[in-house]
Amino acid sequence: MSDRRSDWAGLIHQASVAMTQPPNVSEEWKYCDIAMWAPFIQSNQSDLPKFMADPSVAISVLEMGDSPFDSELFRWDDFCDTPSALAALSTIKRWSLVTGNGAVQVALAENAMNGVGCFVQVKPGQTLNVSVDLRGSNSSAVCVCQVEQGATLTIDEIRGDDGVTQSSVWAVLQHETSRLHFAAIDFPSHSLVRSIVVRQVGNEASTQISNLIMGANQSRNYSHSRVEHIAESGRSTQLIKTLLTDESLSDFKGTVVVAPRAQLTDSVQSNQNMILSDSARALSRPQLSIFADNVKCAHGATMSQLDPDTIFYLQSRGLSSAEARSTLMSGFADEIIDQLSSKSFRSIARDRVLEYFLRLKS
Amino acid sequence: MLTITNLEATIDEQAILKQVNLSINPGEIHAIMGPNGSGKSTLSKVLTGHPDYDVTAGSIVLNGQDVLAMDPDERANAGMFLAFQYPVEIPGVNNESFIRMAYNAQRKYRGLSEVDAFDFAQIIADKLKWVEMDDEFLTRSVNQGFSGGEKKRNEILQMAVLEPQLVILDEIDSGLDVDALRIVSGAVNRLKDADRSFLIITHYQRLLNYITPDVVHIMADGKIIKSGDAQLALQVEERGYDWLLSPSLNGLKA
Repeated sequence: MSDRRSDWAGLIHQASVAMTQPPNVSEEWKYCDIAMWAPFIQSNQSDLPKFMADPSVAISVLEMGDSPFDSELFRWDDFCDTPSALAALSTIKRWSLVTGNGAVQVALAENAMNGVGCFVQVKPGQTLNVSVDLRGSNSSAVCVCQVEQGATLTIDEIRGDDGVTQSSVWAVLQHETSRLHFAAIDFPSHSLVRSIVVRQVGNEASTQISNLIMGANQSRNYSHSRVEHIAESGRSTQLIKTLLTDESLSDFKGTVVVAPRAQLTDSVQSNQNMILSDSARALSRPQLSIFADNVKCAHGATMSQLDPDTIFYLQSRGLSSAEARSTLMSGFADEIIDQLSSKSFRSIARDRVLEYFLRLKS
Repeated sequence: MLTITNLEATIDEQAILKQVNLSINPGEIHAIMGPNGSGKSTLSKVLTGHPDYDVTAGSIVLNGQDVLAMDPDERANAGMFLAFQYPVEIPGVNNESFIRMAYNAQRKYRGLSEVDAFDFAQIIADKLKWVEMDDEFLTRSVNQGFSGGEKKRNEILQMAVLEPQLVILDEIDSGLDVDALRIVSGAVNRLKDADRSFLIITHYQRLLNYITPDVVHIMADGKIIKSGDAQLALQVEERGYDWLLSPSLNGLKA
């Protein structure tokens, strides 16, 4: 058995290395058969949930069928629906536990390089702030989170750098009245992929996802979100903004699922793309799958340059055209940067945005 | 202060303003009334330099300066202020920072040093009282999530801080309840002085119960067809515009 697993490991490692190469055109967004990864979903740590600790449970979940509403457990393919996410997961051989009350910096990239995934557990009523700095080098990071009743999990993620290729996979399970604040800033890079899946399994859970994506040169950014409302009276807000110049590309796909018993769900998803050059491209696919009848769900995408009426408004107060444009672009970015709870991350992000705008002017 | 002579303007090659003539002296309050589509709001946009409108004839002179040769920001810095009928929302731009930027842009234009955030906080705190707004309005993004009345009060707050020479109020009373109308008009009256002029565009006479105009103009089909004193607004309130729009039927001359 161990020899067999060893063979598997070699094959998977080769496959994952191949898969983390930056895609040439577009990420293939589809469900993948992940049954072959099941042997790697295991751990000896007793604090891990049974679906992560016991591969047979994971397999049984996988075999439950097509309905995502039968179980409170993640099916792995819920957040393995992109090749890069799958590849990232395939490299994880054991899990480290992050838990407690307060603030913590997690070295996701370093862990991932050693085959360690991160499991974040926020116990009932507790508050945990997790900061993740993925700048600098190629990496593929995996983090699975469980936010228990009445708990609050805040995640700040900054990532990307010139020429690097990174992917990150986030999966968050939310229980009753729990709160999730996820804010991320993606700097111009060679290729960035993010897959974030949130499942609200308890009533009155709240999710806020904010992401600023900056593209330059020939950078590629693939962002996939999936928020599943399984229980009643859940709220979710997603705001994904892009600033794109040169020949950069952003490819966003976001899905909101509202299960039959998730009545009184209130969900908003918005993807706002600011195109700053003729050759930059943004692909946007916001989607809703609603199976309940008493819900409020809104989604939309905008592709625009700076709004002339807003520029005029600022000019009518005395700001020059250049000042007005700069103010609007900064404001566009600040709406997301302000969502970062880490002061140092906000400072880093503002500096990079300023650098980005200065480059635009030159 | 302001002289408009034979002003004509179009949008998408459609004539909106047709030979508008208007002169406002320092310290005067002028009101422009008129039916929908008469060109009132267009006049305010053309005065402040909205790029959608093309001026095809005429002139606008503010304190001896050729306004039509100036960009919108230069017009603002020269003392012109428009309180918008529909103020835009600007997500991510802090309201207080924005007003301070505008304040400093105008100081810079006049060769004065910029005011830092600490000193400005004291300046704006006083003006907040004029419009009975909470400090919380300053911490939010410009107009984002504001009610209609709050947006209008935010316009008046900017007016109070910037202290422009020529204030143009474009339907500042639309969507305001009685209390908000009292607050807004109170701030306008407070700013009034011998050197400052106002051009108030409105549909309703009720605003003029709070702000007494020196001159009332009636605008129709892109022209000012009649001017008079405050009594003219009362007549419009009572009789509507028909008697002005068909003068021959009523034996009147504009």
